[in-house]
Amino acid sequence: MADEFDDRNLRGTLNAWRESAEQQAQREEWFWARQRARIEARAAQPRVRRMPMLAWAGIAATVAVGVALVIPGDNKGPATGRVPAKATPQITAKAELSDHDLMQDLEETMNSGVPDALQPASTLEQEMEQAYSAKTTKESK
Amino acid sequence: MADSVLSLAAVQGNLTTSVLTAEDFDELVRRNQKRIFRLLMALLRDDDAADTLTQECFLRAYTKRASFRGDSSVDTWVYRIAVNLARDYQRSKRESFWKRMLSATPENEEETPLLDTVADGGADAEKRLLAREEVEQVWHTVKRLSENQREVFVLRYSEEMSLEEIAQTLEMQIGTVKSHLNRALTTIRKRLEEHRHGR
Repeated sequence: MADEFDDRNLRGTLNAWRESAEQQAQREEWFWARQRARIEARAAQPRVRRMPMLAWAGIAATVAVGVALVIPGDNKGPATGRVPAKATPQITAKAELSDHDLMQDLEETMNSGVPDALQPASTLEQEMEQAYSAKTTKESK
Repeated sequence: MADSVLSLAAVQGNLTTSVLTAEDFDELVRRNQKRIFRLLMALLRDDDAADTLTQECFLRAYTKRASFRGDSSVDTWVYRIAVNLARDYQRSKRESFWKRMLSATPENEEETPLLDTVADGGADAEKRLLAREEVEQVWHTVKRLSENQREVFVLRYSEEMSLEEIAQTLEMQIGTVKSHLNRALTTIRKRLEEHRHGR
């Protein structure tokens, strides 16, 4: 047995070591197939993880809207949704008008022929005008 | 895995950046998974860790494919990811080792010896036994080499990489690779000589 571990011996041992490394890493085909499947599954995982986050965000938004509807700020209660679709923009437009404009609109409507449904308003306007003129007369005296 | 960055040419080792289809990535995995697993086994000698880190290696290659600069082949790039993962794993393992030591939990660091059975009698059997013992000595010595020496040694003698490929993989100068390799071989030779003297 040689005392000195020469290059030839070393080369032979390193070759044997390489074979040993190769042998230790040998696996059946199912192992490689399973490993590939796991890689593929894990590569797809981040997308899967995002879905619950989006779902939670949607749920949170829905709850927030629900809470806002249930706890109104002006005590008028939740919107009923009974207002006809065509009426909504009219109401909004009216709300933006001043009292003077509103009265003018009302007057124009009255002059253009009052529908039966608005007859009480016509009466109210007359009463208001009478009361106003009476008050004005009293003050001027 | 439909979106893509690298071209098939890049997957095959050339460097152009355009498109990596799901089939291209699958091909990259199929072509390298055994080598990456073998490399990790040689560096770590841990089946589960090698399997998990092989998966992690390709997962990182896939998720970081946009950062592939193309200054080396894709294979070299994947090897580099694997070596870095092995480093991180060993460092975290060392940390957990010390944690276990400090908490006075017994640590059995010894691995299952490669010498499974003693062969039949005779001169050939004696030679085989000696060869097995020497291979086992190499494994033990490799484990105790410095991180850089171990990586260079494994890439050279397990993966049969050229010095230039090792330099690219480890992002080192070739001179540094040679230096680490010489030190590793000197240590291994010394250990083997001691083993023969000790018999």
